[in-house]
Amino acid sequence: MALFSKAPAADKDVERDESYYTAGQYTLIWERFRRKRSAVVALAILIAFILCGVFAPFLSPYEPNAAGRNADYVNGAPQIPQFCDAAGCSIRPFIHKVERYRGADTNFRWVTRPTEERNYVVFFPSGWDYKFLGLSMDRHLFGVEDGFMHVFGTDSGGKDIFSRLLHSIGVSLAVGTIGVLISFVLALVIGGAAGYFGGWVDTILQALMDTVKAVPTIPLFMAMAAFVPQEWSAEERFFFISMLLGLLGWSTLARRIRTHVLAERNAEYVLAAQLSGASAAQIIRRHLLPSFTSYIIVDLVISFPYMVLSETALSFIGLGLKDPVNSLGVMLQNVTRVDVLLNYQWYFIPVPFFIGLVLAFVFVGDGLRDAADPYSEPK
Amino acid sequence: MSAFLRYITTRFFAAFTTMLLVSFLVFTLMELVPGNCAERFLAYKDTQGLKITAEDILAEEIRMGLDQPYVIRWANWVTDIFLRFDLGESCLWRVDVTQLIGDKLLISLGLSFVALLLTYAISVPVGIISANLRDGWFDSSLRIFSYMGLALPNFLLALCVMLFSTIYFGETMTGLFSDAYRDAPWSFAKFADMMSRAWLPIVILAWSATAIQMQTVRALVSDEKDKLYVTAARARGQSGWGLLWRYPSRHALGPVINSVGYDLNRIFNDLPIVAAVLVLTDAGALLLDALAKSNDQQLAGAIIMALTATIVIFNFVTDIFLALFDPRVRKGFF
Amino acid sequence: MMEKLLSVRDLNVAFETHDRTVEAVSGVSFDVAPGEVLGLVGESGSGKSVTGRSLMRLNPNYARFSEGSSMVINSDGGPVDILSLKGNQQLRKVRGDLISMIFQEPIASFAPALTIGKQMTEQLMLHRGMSYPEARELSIDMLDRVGITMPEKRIDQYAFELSGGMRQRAMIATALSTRPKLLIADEPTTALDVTIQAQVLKLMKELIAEFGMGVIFITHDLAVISEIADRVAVMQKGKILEQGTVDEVIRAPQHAYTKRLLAAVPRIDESILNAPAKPVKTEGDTDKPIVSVKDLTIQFSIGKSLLGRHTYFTAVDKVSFDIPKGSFFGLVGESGSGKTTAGRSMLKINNFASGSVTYDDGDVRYDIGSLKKAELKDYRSRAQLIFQDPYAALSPRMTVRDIIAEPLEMMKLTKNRSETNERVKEIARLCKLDVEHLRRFPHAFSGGQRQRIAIARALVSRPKFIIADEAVAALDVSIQAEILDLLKSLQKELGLTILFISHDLAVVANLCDHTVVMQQGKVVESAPTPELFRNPQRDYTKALLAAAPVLRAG
Repeated sequence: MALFSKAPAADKDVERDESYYTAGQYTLIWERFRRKRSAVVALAILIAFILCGVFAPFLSPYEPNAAGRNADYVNGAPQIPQFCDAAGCSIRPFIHKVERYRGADTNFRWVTRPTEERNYVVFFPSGWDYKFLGLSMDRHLFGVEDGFMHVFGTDSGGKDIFSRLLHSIGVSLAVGTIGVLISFVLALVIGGAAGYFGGWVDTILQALMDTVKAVPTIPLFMAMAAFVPQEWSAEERFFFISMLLGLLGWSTLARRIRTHVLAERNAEYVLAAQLSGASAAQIIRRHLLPSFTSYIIVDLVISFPYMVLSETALSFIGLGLKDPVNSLGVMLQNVTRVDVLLNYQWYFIPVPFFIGLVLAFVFVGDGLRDAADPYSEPK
Repeated sequence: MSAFLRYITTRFFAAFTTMLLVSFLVFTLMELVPGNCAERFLAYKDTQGLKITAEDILAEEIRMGLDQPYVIRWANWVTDIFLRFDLGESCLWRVDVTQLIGDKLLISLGLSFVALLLTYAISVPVGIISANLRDGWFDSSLRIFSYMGLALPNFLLALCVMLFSTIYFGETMTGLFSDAYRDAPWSFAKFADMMSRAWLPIVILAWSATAIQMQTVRALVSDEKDKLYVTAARARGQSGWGLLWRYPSRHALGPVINSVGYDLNRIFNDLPIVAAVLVLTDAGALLLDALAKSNDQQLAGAIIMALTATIVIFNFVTDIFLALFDPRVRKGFF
Repeated sequence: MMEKLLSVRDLNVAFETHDRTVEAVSGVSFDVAPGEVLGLVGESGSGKSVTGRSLMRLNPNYARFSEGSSMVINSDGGPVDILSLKGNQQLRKVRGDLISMIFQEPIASFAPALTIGKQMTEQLMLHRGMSYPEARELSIDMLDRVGITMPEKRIDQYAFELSGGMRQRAMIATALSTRPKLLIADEPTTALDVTIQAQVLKLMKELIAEFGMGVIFITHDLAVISEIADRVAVMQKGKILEQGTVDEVIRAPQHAYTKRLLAAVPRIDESILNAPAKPVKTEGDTDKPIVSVKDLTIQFSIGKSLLGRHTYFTAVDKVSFDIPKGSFFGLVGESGSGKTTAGRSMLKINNFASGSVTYDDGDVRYDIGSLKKAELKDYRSRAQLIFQDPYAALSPRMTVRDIIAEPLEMMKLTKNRSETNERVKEIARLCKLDVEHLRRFPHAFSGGQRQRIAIARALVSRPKFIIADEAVAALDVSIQAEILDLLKSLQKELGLTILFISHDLAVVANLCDHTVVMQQGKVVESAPTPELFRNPQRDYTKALLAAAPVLRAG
């Protein structure tokens, strides 16, 4: 007969205060998460990204689509606000105005060139109209006194890359959220049923999971997305793509949920609850759900970047979202052209932001994973 | 031995069932697509200046057997694939899909397999070393590298490579063949030309899988390292690399072997997009073509079936390897 | 005084984690002579295993030895200072050459994917420079020596193909193949059944006599120590409290902790053997048994052939016994005897193939095999279970109050929340729990306190019948005694009937009025406890009693 000599969960030798003893699961998880600095930093960055996405209309000086284009500044380089120039310094940041010019020195082609004239940056100007929480607004964080300022430059249509980037963060997060939610519901039902009922239900559902897992998803996405009618609106495409991501992305999550349910279901304290007269519904609500919500949250955070990546890849090859909806994939669509590679490298500015977004998710997920079971010994 | 045979039989049936389910899934999805193959072909002819009537479409449907019930068509499709390796006809070009994608699919699979080999050739030893140097600088830089594998997906990496090579070398480094050989028949020179250019797509394809697999190997070996039998082996005087290889590494490799099919899947996922970036004319790009431009569901279905079948067969093979490798599986202890 | 083999002086080991340093071993000194067995005894967290591992420098890398610690072992080539060894080459001296070690879990201490032979020969090849065929031959001899049948075949098998006892024999053979001067045995018999434990202990005694090595025998079990050790050192919280010959320490313990520990060890002594059997209830007695088990048979499906035919394993085979009302009823057996399965079926946790279980407490009478839903709900309030592992049995996410209140709330036994709270407080006091602690979570408590919480939960619905399934097996011996006392007093106070399932004969002898012995699914013997222990009728019972380690001095 085995005798377990378990390490005591709480160090008996170390006195802890009463608040530790009376701390519930989420307090303990947060305490453990907080100790991991990289995760906390990543969480702060992630929150910043989310705020950027949510407040994109306010933060962007111009509309991220054809309506906000600057026809006089196509494929324009980034304009960085500065405090000093040849004429001296100023307290207010400014950029230089640009002008369209054609002359013998340019072979009589139109070019855009900077002038000496200063264009001061202003804050909270009124600009294009947008709706936020149902309110019509037209205030934006910043702009310039006269004309346009493109801190990240413009694309071949003259659209402001900075504004597009902010909106694309919002779109990527929204696609990810919808995709993750759909796959989460599927995974919870399928994985939960497999784990809870076991037996032949489990066998069949596992075969289904294996099947879905064996199919390479991106080619399948492509097959499905290619048949989207051309006449669909941008919004319809958006929802279709999000749903597709969710409908094909649930198998890994379902398997993990199945494992959690299986492990918790066979836990002795669940048997104890059964003996206490708890019904199946009460056991699920009182014991199973609380025991693996934290793991599910971790899984959701971890699977989020995969959704964003898939959307980006699809949009990038022209099968996902399309203009005027902005997403990173849409923004990168034309960058493989040689002239872009050679001359307009600011097209690549969104890339590091995108990497930052994915990394933020990965680090937060990592930190949460370590903290998700606060009752195990810390590693 | 009987346990081994039973294991293999079970795995074979599981693989077979998966294949059937996949074929059903793919077939169904292709059916859900608006418009059928006959309409598509004739609509295509229509653009070529031929006048097409509703009767023509009907006649074509009957000729192609599209009037038969759904399940029967699925059964026909599956038996053709499984028994005759016949993937059917392309909707548009009216040639055998096998012919159409034949060598392109082979090149794709070749690229993917080499990428897979590269993945494991790097990730297994590096993962093991990293587990042994747990928490040192090597380990933490590896961790960051792994994160990059996720955050910088293959196609973005390809883009960045293109950006730098264009700026510094004035060449985009795209395409699998140089202009001279693109349409030339296969020859040694063409093969050599391909190899001289193939390394870049292979490295890029292997990138994410390597980064992630490395972290997995590290975690698995690291877990094994804490087990009692490792302490027991140390107590017997075993140490250093001998200990590391014989005990934690060897015992961690089971799950690693198991994940090969999954990594192949990952590489297949990246293939079409990397192919698009690097302008490779392999099956990935062909799929993109078939789907994005011509809506050829017969061709798309065939390609997805071929890719999935490769993965399922691979999984079956790794199952056998696993049994050879792990006596517990072989002797039916699990 | 014989020449010393090992001399440990002032050993201090500290574990440095990121935020604090924990003293695991402090100021430990002892000697071991050749051929002498030193028992290192203590409860969990006493530092006994850390001490053992330190001798082979097997501690994790966050362990620090402080200045002044010294461990010296005498070899043929002169004394070796263990702490000054550097690098794998030098450390090999104390790992497998001069010192060998055997571990608690024989299944976990063999690598699963390597044959026994691969792991045995490795040591000989490393330390004795043998070739593989030579090492293999010697290993086969060793396997033969430790009593493994067909050693030529076993050497090419894997650990999972051997039984638990065989594995531990193979482990001993491996450890002794290089003829080390010192053997460290870390709880080598704890995971084994009592009859196997007796065989392994006997084997070890023979081998010690034959090989003449010194032994450090680490265990929590004083009875085992008294059987095998020459001298004993008692450890608590990283310190040695006292050491001396087994006789001295067991007969006349000096330290209060040792006294407490010894007092806590259950013994089968005269007072038990000579106790009068409780009056046996006769046929015509109106006082019927509370639970009556008849021809109970339980089978489990252990897999399906390819043709879909199930194969069954019979866990419990036609078992019958009556549990008298108000008794403390013991059910003993080794692992695989079916005792737990039988017990759980009485609570309808698993279904049974045939036979019947009847519950009759005077108010109601239930046939457990065919309970209706409403009846089952009522039955749950009358019969409850106490689990073995107090860590797994309590939801870590609920407060103690909620855990104890669960049966009341789920079965709606109270009218309102304040009544529930009153009942919870009442039962908590009864189980000697601090009422102030009810708002804490289980992670605030040690194993013994957790078991009190689990008992409180089982009793809160005021059941008549309790099944305690190895309820003290996971606890340290001093805590075990407290919990047993608690169970005894509760049984008296509340008039409970307790079915006590255990592998530990001594505990059952001290606790139970009547004892049933099970083996491989069948009842071997059933008798009033004094009678059973005084005069066992069946061979198996006799073997079991003979095998149980007994705390004895001299």
